[in-house]
Amino acid sequence: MPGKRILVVDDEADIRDLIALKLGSAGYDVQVALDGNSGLQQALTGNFDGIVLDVMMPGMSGIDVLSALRQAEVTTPVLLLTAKAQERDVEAGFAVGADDYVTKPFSPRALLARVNALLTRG
Amino acid sequence: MDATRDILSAIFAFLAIPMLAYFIAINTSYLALIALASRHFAKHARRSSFTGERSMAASPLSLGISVVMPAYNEETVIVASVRSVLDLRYPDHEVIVVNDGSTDATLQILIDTFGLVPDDREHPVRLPVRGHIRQIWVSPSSEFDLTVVDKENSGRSDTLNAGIRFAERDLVVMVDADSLIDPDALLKVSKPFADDPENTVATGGVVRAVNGCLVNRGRVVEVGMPRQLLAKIQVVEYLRAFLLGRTGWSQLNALVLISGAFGMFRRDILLEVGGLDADSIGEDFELVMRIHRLMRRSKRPYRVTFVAEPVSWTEVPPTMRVLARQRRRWHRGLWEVLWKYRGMTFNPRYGVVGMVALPFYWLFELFAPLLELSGLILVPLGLAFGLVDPGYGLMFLLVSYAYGFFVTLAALVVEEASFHRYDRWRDLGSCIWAAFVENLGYRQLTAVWRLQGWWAALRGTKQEWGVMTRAGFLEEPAVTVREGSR
Amino acid sequence: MPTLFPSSVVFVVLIACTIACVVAIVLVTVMRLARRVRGSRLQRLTERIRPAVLQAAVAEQDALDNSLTVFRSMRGRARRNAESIATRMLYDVTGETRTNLTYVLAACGTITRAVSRTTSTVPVRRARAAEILGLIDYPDAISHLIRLAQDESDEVRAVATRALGRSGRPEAIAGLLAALPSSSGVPAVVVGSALLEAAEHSAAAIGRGFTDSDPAVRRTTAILASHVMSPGATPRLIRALATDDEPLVRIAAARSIMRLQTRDAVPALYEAASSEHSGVRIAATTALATFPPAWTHEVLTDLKHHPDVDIRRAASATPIEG
Repeated sequence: MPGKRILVVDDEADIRDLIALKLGSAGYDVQVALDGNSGLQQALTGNFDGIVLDVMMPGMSGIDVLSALRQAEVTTPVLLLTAKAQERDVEAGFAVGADDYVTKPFSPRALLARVNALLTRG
Repeated sequence: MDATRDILSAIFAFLAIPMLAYFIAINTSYLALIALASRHFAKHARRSSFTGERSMAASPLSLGISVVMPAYNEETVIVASVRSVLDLRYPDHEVIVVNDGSTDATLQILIDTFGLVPDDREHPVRLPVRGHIRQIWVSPSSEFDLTVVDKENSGRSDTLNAGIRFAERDLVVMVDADSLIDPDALLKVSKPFADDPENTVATGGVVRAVNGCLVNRGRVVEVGMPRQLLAKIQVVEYLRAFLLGRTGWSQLNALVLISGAFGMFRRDILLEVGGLDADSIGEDFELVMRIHRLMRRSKRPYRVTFVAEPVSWTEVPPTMRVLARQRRRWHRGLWEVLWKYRGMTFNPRYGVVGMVALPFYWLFELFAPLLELSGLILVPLGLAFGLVDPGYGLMFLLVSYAYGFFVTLAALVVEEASFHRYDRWRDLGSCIWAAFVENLGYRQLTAVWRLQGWWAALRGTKQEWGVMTRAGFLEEPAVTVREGSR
Repeated sequence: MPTLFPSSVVFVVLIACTIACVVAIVLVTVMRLARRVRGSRLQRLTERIRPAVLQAAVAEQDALDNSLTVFRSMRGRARRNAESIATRMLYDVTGETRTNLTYVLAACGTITRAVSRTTSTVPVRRARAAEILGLIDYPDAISHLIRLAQDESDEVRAVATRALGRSGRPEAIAGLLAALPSSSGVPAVVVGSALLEAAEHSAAAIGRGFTDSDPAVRRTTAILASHVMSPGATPRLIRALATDDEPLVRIAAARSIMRLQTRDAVPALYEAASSEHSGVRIAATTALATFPPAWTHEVLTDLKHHPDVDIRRAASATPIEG
């Protein structure tokens, strides 16, 4: 998928950089946001082909960002990153318009495969 | 004149040694508590790499928690507080907000924001509640587990009892609507229950001052010292007395005071002791004492544990007036509870609690302001009547302040070695300055307020107090401060 | 007071106190300075090392060996930094990245050191070793963890038990089952969560716990049964609900049945709803109320007139929408 633009929003630097690196190595043009607020701003203006969004962030959570995005009628495919036990996050995420999710601990390689699938579908 | 002089002289001769001994003992015992706390922190730090918190956060086996949050006229903060509590990292928790007859739109905002629907089922009767419960509201969605109990105004303790009545999980934690809670708070404060499920009956989280911190959407994102001197001093005071003092008590297995702003209890024990005492002013203290009494009397092994990692942040009074009222109330509560449980003091049946903790609270908490002030009156009198050599008197005074200052500095050293939350150089300077200035006026003023509170209790102006506190809220709509919790 | 102490003694005490205060101020300042210096040195180091760890973590198989070279030559602070970065990342990842990070730790010598620390005389060291061995993708770690799960220190046993669960390997199951009884000193929540993490291998073995003589084992088994889809769990849960002596086991069974939503359990739940233990009554009724109304209409109608208000309440609960 060379050239497709992906936004990765996660406050945890390790996870964010692992994902960015893995997606980057597959040819994606990856931008990162360090928290929900800036993630939302970038997502609204950045014209992305896909967004990887962490749910558990201080301040604006991934769910908040996603629902704000969908309210602004941004339909970019969104993949949520949630903690294993937080089934509610998954439900809430799909309720506000998520397209897919991955639970932590996660495999960056499997995440890449899901992003690929998501972008082909979309 | 001579007679007065003689009397004074006799008083001096009689009081000098006990006063001196008292002053040495109070500061030394604080030092001992700080030393105990630092030992605990050192032990804790070596274990930080294998706490198992992550696996608790992901395990469906973690004990369920009911978060009970009383709310009185909190329309400005209620949505943010409820959201932040719903979002806490924990596998199984429900949130029960109890609207204590708010006169503002607190309830309506909750209903609208969370799409609540009425729950018309019969109410459980596990605990007596005085305030009439008008209606139960629940969230129809499985996205969040939220119940709102709407009841007539009846004060904080009764409101909490109403919430506990509807709590369904194994653990109950009480939080205040206007305190800010860290995302991992439930994991941290429930950890002792997971580590020692047989014995742990209650845990208390530490409360720190939010003044001066940077807050974003109901979460503390950057910790800093407040600008106001009054708040600065309280930060240092909280570090010494609450953080280190309570950690020390917890190490002795004699923790008798858990903060009302973040106390977690086993639900069956809470129900067994009958919830909070709606008539008590020091309700948090009273509850923990009742639990101690129950467990000791029924000879069940148990533990009350203090969790020192910062989890909850609350605004400390920035004005003298509010601070004075808070301290009067605290001391009044302290007196009432100590008096109520006087039978446990020096009673070997109650172990360390009866033999060490309670005598300490009597001697070094309850009587402290009395002795502090009598010193302040006697020394100038002695000087005036020429009973005390000015140079000598001054030296004595300096020794006492220097020792007190040293104890606070020792607390700062331990905080630096453990949590070091006040990270900027400016903050360190602030802390040291506050520790110094505390002795010049603040200590004396709080002593006066505390005595006033005690006096009010002895005179027995009982029922008014709760009402007065509430009225105070209404007088100052601009200041988002409440009395705070210890 | 004037005659209490000679003024010289008071003076000496005053000087001592003042010195103590000055020492404390100097100490706190030095501590902060040292921490700051350490912190910025660590930051510079991390800026250098972290990219290398990240690179190795997501490297493809053929590029991995190349990116590991740098770690083999690391010493002292740099090596410890690489270790801690890789360890931290291991908590969040699985699959290929976990394997790669294991290679990073192997290149740093961390794994060899952890293995030798499993026999250290200091419990904290053994516990740390167990934590690392549980994070990595390394088959030989299991035998050490099984041994540490029998350690004399409670703390080490708990860490090793969690680690065994995280390893997710079939060999770990026996060690975990051995930790189930309350006499093991490892909290049931820890053992249970570990068995759950290793669910694909533990499912079959868990069923045996239903007949254990230790109520703690039966209770954990009853809780786990619905999470791991243990074969034949439903009839066993129903039996436990109906016949176990221990109310806590019956409550756990009722809650598990609620998760499994099995129609066969309705009669047993209905009977348990009139148990003399209030916790059992509530758990059973709550479970019934979550079942499809077609299965429970009659029994719930009856329970809505139960003398206990908690039962009437639980029976009238409306099932929550998804």
